Amino acid sequence: MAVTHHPLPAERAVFWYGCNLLRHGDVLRLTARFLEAVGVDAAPRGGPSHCCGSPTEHNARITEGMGRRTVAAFNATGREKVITWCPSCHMNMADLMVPETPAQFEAAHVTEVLWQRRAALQKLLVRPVQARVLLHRHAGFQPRVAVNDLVSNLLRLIPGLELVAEDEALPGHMCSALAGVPGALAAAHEANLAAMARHGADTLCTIFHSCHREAVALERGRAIRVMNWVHLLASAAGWEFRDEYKHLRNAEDPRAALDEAALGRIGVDVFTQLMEPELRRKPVV
Amino acid sequence: MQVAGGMRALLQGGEASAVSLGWIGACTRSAACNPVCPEKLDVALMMRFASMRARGALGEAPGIAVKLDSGWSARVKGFARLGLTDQEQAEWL
Repeated sequence: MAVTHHPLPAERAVFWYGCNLLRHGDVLRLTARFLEAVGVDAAPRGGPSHCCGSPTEHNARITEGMGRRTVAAFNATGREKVITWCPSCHMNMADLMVPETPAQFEAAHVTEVLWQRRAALQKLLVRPVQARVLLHRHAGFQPRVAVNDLVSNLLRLIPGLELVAEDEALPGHMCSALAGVPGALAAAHEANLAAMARHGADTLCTIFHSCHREAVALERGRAIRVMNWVHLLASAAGWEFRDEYKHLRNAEDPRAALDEAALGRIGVDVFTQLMEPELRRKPVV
Repeated sequence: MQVAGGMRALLQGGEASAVSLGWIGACTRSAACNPVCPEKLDVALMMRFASMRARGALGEAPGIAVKLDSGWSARVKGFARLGLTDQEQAEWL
């Protein structure tokens, strides 16, 4: 029996992309474009002015204040849904923010929204993407939102793409959670590289931003590529993008790889003191 | 018991042993504790709150060192200036 997909009604939402996705403007922009294309009028909001309080958890008073300010800002939009990207933001919304400041919206993760609207999404994914993909999975967010399954299902909508079967998930909810445990991040990367070799995968697909910014450096000296799941969807949609963070992270000299105009926009001091050390950091494996 | 008891003690405003603080400090938020808890408690959330208290969230002396990143906000805004247009920054930040 043929299955008919009826389009879901348009809805108004906030796309709460968090703070650290600002490192990946291409992912942010592509995700917003996908939401719009599947019928969600999603206003992107994020950065330090829409913080979940995560960076200040050593001071509950500040964390609470940040959470109140962010929920109040979302309430004031009158939009019925807040679509999250970051697992920390998503969990903080439920665990810390909404219990203190009643929300006039429901929260949903971006992978849930895109999967709900997969009928519209699939119409966009017309270009084959030749890739044998290992998904970079973590265990910690999966009980809240089945993100490993949802991203797998989204990737299976892409013509030509082969997703290798791998059930192992790394510890933590994303790679930033491993940074404080000596050796844990290196062990995670080594596990992914071993799984890629075992399955003959040529592409490592990250789910979250903090994983992506660490994993892109694995491309150095290896015949693999590292892409975010949104990059793979965009490739299938024929949308152009450039992974600017990966370009700079893997450049011999990140400063030389940056054009003068970009350096002027950022500010030499900010780039030198705050961004360049991160971009020049040695890969952990 | 000594390890998990420290988490409980912190949540009740008490102190945790060094062993317990080491365990709490090494939590990576895998949530592997929840499905094996015989009492069906949200242990992951309890660990989260214990971790905050161990870092002095309510004004106590921190039992776990706090890594402060004073450049966090300026850093992400720097990346925003790299990756977003002026209009996107004006509307999205």
